[in-house]
Amino acid sequence: MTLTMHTARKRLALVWFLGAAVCFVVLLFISFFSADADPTGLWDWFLPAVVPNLSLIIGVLVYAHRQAQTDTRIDPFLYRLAFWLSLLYVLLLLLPLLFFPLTGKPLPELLSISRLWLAAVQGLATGVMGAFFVRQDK
Amino acid sequence: MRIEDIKQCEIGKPCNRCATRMLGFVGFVLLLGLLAVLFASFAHASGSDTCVEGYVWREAYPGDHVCVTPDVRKQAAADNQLADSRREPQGGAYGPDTCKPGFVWREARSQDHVCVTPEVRAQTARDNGLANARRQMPPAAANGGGPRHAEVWSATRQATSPPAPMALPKMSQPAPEAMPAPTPVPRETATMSSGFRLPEFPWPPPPFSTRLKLDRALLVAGQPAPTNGSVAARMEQALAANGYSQLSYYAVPDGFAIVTQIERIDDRAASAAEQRWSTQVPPVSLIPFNLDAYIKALLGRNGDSFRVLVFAFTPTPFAAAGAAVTPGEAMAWAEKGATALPAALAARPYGSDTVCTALVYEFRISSLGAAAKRPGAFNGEQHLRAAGILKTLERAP
Repeated sequence: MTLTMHTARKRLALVWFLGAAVCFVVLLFISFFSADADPTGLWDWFLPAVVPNLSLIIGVLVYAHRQAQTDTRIDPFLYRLAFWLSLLYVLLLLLPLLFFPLTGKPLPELLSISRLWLAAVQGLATGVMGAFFVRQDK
Repeated sequence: MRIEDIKQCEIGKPCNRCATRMLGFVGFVLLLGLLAVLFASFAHASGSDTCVEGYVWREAYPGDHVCVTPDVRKQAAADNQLADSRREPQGGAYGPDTCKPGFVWREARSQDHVCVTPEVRAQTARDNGLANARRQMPPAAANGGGPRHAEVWSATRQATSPPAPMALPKMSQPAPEAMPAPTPVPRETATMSSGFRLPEFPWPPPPFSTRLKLDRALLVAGQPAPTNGSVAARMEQALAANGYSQLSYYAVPDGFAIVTQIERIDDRAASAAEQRWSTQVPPVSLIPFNLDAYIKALLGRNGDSFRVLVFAFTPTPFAAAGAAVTPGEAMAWAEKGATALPAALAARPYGSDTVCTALVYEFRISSLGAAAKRPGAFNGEQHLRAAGILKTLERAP
């Protein structure tokens, strides 16, 4: 099956927006219904973790929509790399948020630790996504 | 070389030896200066105002040898520089030294009318109260001169110490008539007999959940001449009888403090029957999975209350100040305090004006983190009664 640029963009956007939405709902839930949580700390962790990538994706989608070009074929290697790195990143994002009750460690501590691996994977995912979009738009 | 020769050189008369003589004279003066500096340094080092390591003279005013941290010294110098700008230009109700709104007199000594923030004033008072504890002891005392020697040295210190303000009225404008020059009542807060010094408890104490002033009779009843040591021993026995085995001693202005380790409490403020000394939040079991427990943990509803008790024995009135303490910091109190009162401090009579105040720091620790509870869920008496401490003290002879 040959993927077109249009489909690839939609799939990548789906991964990122779904992951961010789940995190968003969980954090909203905790912020509203928990008496002990520090909402500032939680959102301070979440927003820098997703907003840059979501902004990139939205920018690309809007740009593509305005260009109204004929759909092009994509570089499958770059696409797969971008897709799996994005998926990995979203799972790593959800990991501390959904599994902290099972660890016995307080959530703020886990979020603090998770910044380390999230920063690394986020950098890779963003880089590959950027390369993928730029290469196809040339 | 005579002075006349120097004068001749100065007026520029031709003189073959002038340059050499001038250099020799300058060298001689420099040598004298060097010797003077060395002598002053030696006198300083061997003097009794020498600070312990990590502390320097505050020098808020000439001759101010209260030992403070380098940051406090910098602060004092900065405040001195800004003194004029913080005074009302036209003077005010308290004369030409009236401070602008938001500033109060520093009172590093009674005549110190430099305008500073209330926080700096509180810090200054605290430093004054701990002045003696931060000075190096005389060699004989440091080498085990014994309590008697320490008392003599202490008396000398009292005569030379700057006045220690005892109360800190909260007012934006200092009122001389409302704040009379405090009577110097310096006391030792650290032993001089063994070279060991009690670590200092954060002072003024961080905001607490609740407090209780303990009846003096509970601590000194049956003791014709109570000492710090006997009072501390009574408190230690009462705490030990209720399971508090790890106690830490700290210095506070003009007294000492006993800190208990953090403990889990139940919904009646009594010590928890299980996991009393553990701050661990139990994880939700994955197999078998319990959704209800998971949701509770996700929302932090699986938390428990914890407390740390601080018994401050001091005649100095105080008010809480600063940021709320975290459970981690409170746990560190138990680890970093001394194991017992130093002998010299223990032998000192328990002052008739000394008050024991129990400060209760209450926390809630859940899977979402830890936070101080202010105000707490219980009052001070409920805490101490539920812990069994009051009952034990009341039963004591």
